[in-house]
Amino acid sequence: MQSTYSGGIDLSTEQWQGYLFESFDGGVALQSPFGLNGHRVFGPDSDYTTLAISALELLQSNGQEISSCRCGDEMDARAIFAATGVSCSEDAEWYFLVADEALVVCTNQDIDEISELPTIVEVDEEFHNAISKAWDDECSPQNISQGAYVSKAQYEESIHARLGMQGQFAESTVMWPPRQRTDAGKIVPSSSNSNVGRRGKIQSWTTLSAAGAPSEFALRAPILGGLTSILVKLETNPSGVFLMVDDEEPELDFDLDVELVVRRIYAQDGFIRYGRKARVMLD
Amino acid sequence: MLCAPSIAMVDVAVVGAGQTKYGNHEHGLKGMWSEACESAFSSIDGDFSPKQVDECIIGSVAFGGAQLGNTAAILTEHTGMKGISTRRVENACASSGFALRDGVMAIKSGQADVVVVGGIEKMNDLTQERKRFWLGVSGDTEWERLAGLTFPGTYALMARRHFHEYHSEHDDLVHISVKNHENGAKNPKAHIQKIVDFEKAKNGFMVADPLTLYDCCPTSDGASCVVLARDDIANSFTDTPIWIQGSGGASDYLALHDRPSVTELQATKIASKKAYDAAKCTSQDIDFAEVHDCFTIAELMATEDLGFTKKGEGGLFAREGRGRLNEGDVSINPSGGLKSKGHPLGATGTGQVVEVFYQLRHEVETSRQVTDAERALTHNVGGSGATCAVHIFGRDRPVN
Repeated sequence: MQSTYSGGIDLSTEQWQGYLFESFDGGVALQSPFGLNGHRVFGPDSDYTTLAISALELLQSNGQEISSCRCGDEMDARAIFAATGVSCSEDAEWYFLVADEALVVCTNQDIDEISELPTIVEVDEEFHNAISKAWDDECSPQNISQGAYVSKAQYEESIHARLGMQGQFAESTVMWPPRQRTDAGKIVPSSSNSNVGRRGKIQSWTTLSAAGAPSEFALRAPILGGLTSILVKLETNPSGVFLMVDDEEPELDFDLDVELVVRRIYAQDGFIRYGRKARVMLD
Repeated sequence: MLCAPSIAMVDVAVVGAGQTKYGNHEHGLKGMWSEACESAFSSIDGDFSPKQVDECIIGSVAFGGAQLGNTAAILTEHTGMKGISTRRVENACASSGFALRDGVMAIKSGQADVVVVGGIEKMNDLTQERKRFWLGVSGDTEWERLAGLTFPGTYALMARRHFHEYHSEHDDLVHISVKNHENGAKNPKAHIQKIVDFEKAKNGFMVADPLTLYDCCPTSDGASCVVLARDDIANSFTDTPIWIQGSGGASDYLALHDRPSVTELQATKIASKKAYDAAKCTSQDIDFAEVHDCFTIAELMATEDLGFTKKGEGGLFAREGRGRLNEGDVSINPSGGLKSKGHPLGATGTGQVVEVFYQLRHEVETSRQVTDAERALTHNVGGSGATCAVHIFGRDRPVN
C-alpha cells in the first residue's frame, strides 16, 4: 500500500490511486471516497472503467497474474486491456462485480456481499450535478468538434502508449510516445517495446484559466476552475505532459514525485477518451 | 545554403512592403489582402504592375470563418495576379516567415524574378466559442491538447522552468511587456496602441500562471505583403532596396515534452545560425530585431537563442533594458512586437518584414525610428517552437 495525497482524505485510510480499497483473499474492492446525501458518488473524472483499471493495477502490483476478466457493460474493455494487459472475456475466472454506488470488486471468488467502506469526503451537490451534466453533454453524439480534436482512430492508434505507457527502447534511449524512427533516422524495430512506467518528477506546471482551455474541456473547465497541467520527467527518462486528477489540489513544486493513474480525459462523438493523469505522492 | 557553389549567386531584395493595421479589421480576407497588397505595391518607387509577378506565396493558418482551402488562389486572382503559380504556406504562426523563405528560394533558384510573399489571418470574425476550437491547434493535438494545454499553458511551463533554472522572474517578463507596449503605442499599425505601466502589467488577470494577460499577445486580424525582386532588376523598382542577407529555417519536436530542454528553442538556434552564416555576420552586427514575442517569455528566450545575451541571462537582459529602443545593446521589437502590434498568425512573419523595410529605409515615425539602422533580423516561430524562420536584412547588398 502507498499513502498518497488526496484532498481532505485521512491519509491513514488505505488508498490506491485516489480510491479507497479493501483487500481480501482472492480479490479487492475499490471504492470512490466521495459521498453525497448518503450515497457514494464518483469523483469528477472517475467511472467504473477507471475503478476497474485501478483494481487490476492494485492486484498486479501485489504480484497477482491476471490475463483475462469478465467485465461489466459499464466498462470500456479496450481501455482496460490497453492499460493493464487484461482482456475482457466471458470465460474468465476473474470477474468484476459492480455496485450502484461507485464501487467495483475484482475477484475470482464467489461473493455474497459487498463490504462498503464509509465515504470520506462529502461533495458539494451543485458542483457534482454540474460536472455530471457536463459529462452527459460531452458524451452526447451531438457534441461535435469544429476544430482540431483527437478522433477515435487517432485515439486508438496510440491507446497503448497513452494508457499502458508503452514506449520503445532503441539506440540506448527510451522513447515515449513511440515513433517510427529514431533521431538518428533508424527505423525502430517492432521488438523494441518498453514500458516507461507510471512514476516521475514534476519539471514544471501551470493552471490554465477556464477561458483559455482547449475546446475539449470547454464544458468542464469553468466548473473545475481551470485546468492544471504538469510537465513530468518519468523515472525511465522520457517526459510527458499530463493533467492533474480533477479531485485533488495539492501544492506543486519542482521534483515532487507523481504517479500516473487512469482517469477520464474528455468525451466526443459519443465515446470517452481515457488517459493518464497525475497525482502527487507524499511518500 | 540556398545555392549550390557552382551556381551563380543571386541576391534578393525587398522592393516594396505594406500591411493593414492589425486589430479588429472591418474587412474580410479579400478586403484585408487587397489593402496589404495595395499598400505594398504603392510603396514601390518605380513602375510596377502585379502582372510582373511570377509567383505568389501566402502564409495563413486559415483560422477565420471564410476560405479554408485554396486561399492563395482566391486572394491572388482578387489582386490582379491571376494565372501565376500560387500557394498557401502553413507553418502555424511562422507561416509567412516560411512563405518569405520560399520566395527567396524561388528567386535564388532562377525560377522567378519577382515574387509576392505575404500572410493573412482573420481571427476576430468568430464567436468566442468558435474561436476556442482554434486555440492551440498548432500544438501537439494528441498529447499536449489532451493534457489541457493551449499555447498560454505551454509557454507558462517554459516560463516557470526558466525561472527555476536561471533565477529569472516574472518582473523580467513585465519589463518586456512594458517595453513593447511603449513601442507599439507609437506605431499606427499596431493593434494595441497604448502604454501599460509596470504595476498594471505585473498584476494582470492570470491566464496561465505565471503568465498574466499582459504576458500574452492579442488575437488580431491582419494582412501583410512584401514584394521581392532579383538583384539585377531590383533597382528598376526602387533606388533603396532592402537586401535579404541571410535566410534560415529549422524545425524541432512538435511537443514540448519531447525536447531535451524547455528553456530554449532549438529551432531558433539552428535557423539563426544558418541566417547569420549566410549573412556573414553575428548577433553583434544586428541593430534591431523583430522577434516572436507571442508571450513575453518567448522574447526572453529569443534574446538568448538569437545570441543577444548569454544562455540564462535573458531575464537580466530585460531587467537592464538592453533591448529598449535606441537605449540598449539592440532594439528589440521597435514595432511593438506581437505583444502590442498584434499577432494575426499567418500575417506576422511578413508583417515583421514590413517593419524592417521601413526602419532600414529610415521611414518610420521619428519617435520609434531605430537610429542609424543598417542591419536587422526577423524571427518568426511556429507554435511553441516546432518551426522557426530567421531572416537578416540590410541596406547593403550581401557580401558574396
